[in-house]
Amino acid sequence: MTSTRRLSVGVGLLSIAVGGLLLALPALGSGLVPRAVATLLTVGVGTVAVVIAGRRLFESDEPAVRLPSPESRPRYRTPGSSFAGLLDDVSTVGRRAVDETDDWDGDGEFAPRERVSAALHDLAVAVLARTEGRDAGRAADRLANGRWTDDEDAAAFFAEGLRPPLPRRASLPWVRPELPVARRARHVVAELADRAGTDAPDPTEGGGLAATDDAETGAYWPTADLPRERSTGRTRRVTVAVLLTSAVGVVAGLPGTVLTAAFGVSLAGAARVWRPSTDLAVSRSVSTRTPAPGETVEVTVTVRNVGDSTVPDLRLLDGVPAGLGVDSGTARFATALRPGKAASTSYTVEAVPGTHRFEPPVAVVGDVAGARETVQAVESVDGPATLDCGFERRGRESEAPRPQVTLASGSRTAGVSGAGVEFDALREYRPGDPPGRIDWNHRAKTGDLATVEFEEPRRPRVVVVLDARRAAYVAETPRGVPAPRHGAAAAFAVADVLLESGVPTGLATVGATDCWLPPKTGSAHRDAVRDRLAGDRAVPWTAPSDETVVADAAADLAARLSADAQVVLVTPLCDDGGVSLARRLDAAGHSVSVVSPDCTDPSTVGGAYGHLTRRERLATLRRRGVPVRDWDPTTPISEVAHVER
Amino acid sequence: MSNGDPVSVSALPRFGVAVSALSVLVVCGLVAPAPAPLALAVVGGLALGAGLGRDAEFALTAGVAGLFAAVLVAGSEGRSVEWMLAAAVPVVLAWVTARHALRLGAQVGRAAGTLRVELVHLVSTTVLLAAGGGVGYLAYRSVAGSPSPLALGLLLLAVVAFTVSLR
Repeated sequence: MTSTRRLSVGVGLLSIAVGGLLLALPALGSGLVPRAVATLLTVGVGTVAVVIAGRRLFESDEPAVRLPSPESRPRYRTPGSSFAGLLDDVSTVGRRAVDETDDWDGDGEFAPRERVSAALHDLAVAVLARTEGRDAGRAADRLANGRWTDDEDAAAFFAEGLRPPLPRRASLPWVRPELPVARRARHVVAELADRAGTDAPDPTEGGGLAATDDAETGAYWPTADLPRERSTGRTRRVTVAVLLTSAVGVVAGLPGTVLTAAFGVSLAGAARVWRPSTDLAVSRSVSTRTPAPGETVEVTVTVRNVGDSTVPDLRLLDGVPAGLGVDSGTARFATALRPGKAASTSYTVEAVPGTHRFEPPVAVVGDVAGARETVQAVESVDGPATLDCGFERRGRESEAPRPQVTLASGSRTAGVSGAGVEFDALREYRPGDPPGRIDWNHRAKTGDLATVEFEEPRRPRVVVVLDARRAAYVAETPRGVPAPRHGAAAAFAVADVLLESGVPTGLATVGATDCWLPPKTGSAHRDAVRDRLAGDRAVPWTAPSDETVVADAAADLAARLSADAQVVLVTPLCDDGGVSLARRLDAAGHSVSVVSPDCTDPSTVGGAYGHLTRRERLATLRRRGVPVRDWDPTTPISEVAHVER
Repeated sequence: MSNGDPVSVSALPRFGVAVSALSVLVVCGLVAPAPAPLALAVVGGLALGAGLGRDAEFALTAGVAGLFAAVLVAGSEGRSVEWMLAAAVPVVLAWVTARHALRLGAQVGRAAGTLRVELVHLVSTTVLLAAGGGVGYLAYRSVAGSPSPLALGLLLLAVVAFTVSLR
């Protein structure tokens, strides 16, 4: 108890005692002096009460604790969502002519309609050039003269410029009809999708896309600043009410009003007197610890009050692993527990591949008057800590990903000279060379010592590189499985096949974390690869908060890879960074092949744009001689590791 | 406390909302004969509803203040002290359960069974209010009939001092 508090309690008790005395001996309170004192006391204390109440009124509540959301995975971008956002942003801004001197949009940036146009033009030229077998120049000509399609809206987008006449309604301040340029852009995407042979989206379905343009990057389970005790703000409001009410009541001479202050005093007093127990024991059970992908797992959480006082208000959020979404039931529950009593809840999750670690449950314990609450993470939980799904050894069922990757030992030259059987070169003798490799004929002919170099037979080394950059965290639906996690499953399938065949295989991730396993063989290494890929440390479920500079990442990788290492790059190819990474590794002299999980959904205009641009990236890589395996994550994983012949 | 997202109406626990609404109705019924307090109570009740529906703390507090003002105005028009005390109880209950429902909605949602914890909260709050009100009323009865202004002033001082110590 602080000295202020002690003093105020003392004053309170003293005034009650004196008041009681006055009541017992009314004669003491009569007369002029007691009346004057009474008036002064009432006015003075009333003023103080109002001042304190005013100060308390404008204090702010303690900041809220951010509670995690156990129901679903973090939110991810969907491919094409930025284009959809751009289409939604197309407004009457930027209708005026663009020229160098016109700074209508800040620092010379382009308006959304200009950016939509530029993006669509590039895509349309590429699609037309590919589907009609024309060169880019002629495709651009056809776009400009509007004869590339029968769809009038689509043709007009490129032929009639970006400033078509506006409907009259568009100039009204409260109506926001879709502008012609945005409508035409949707038709262009639908027409291009049709050309490219995918299911064309409905171009009339536009606007109000709920897709977010950015992935959630904060920690999925924020428990770093727990435990924390905070006031809910109830005491503060009660204090203000009590002080104001009693001041008003005394000044106005309404005893009933003063009496209502007793309610507030009892609420605030109870919160101070009874502190709830925060000793909780949590246990968890699951219906199976090793579910198959798609299997439903039932999780039951039981919380027991192991303290010696009642917990009047307990809310518990179970730490559902980041990669799993709650299917039915709820991972949150609220209850009141007497000492020794327990309560439980169950929910089901649908298993997806990965080793899923349960997070510590978060318990919020409130007191009897709802004035204070303690938020704590329950670190020790009885029961299984993880759910293990998928990432099984497929082994001999499938084959290596690319013909260049040979499985027979020694049949591929490593591009390195050394000891071997096949002649490669003759070089000057260096002290220490084995005498058996000295070319004595050369010595007899020229008088100089020379050493024979043979082509060194070596097993090819393969490094599986997984793209887990922030930009790679896209998913088919905002709460779906993100591409890097599909990629981890694909990477494991590839690595597993190679390791099974005895090919030294390494693992590297780009972006999220700096994971590097040099190429090796053996079952221990295979387990290490599996642990990295299945777990959530090397390839987390939450997108990293920083963008990765592809050039730096490629340079770092190239520095680690041995000269003869082949690279299998696993990337969703939903941005140009994936293409750039593949080309940089290719340029560094490594034989690169790409496995790309397809996370696009062409059923919306934005999704179709994402789908088409991804296909163009695939085509770009193939044109440059990089084999690309386009993998639909809904098909079995073993498909990934089949040889493309 | 919320987890960042605003509480949607569908997540609010039904029981707490029902108790809150019932308390508002009771207050309206108690002050009903007089038009001015009734108008205050209705406006306060609507504001409280808006505060609940939109997770707006200010509207909720303002609504409860309106309800309380309605009781005070009705009480100043010749009602007994007992009536005043009784009419203030549903005001406090409306406020307490509404805030509790908002926090439950934000932290747990409706999907989980919240009836038990809400009942415990309602009962414990009611017991606390009854105890506090009872003690206050007994004190009042013991001083009633000897209206000493100095005693009343000292009572005010005691209330303020205890409130300060409880902060």
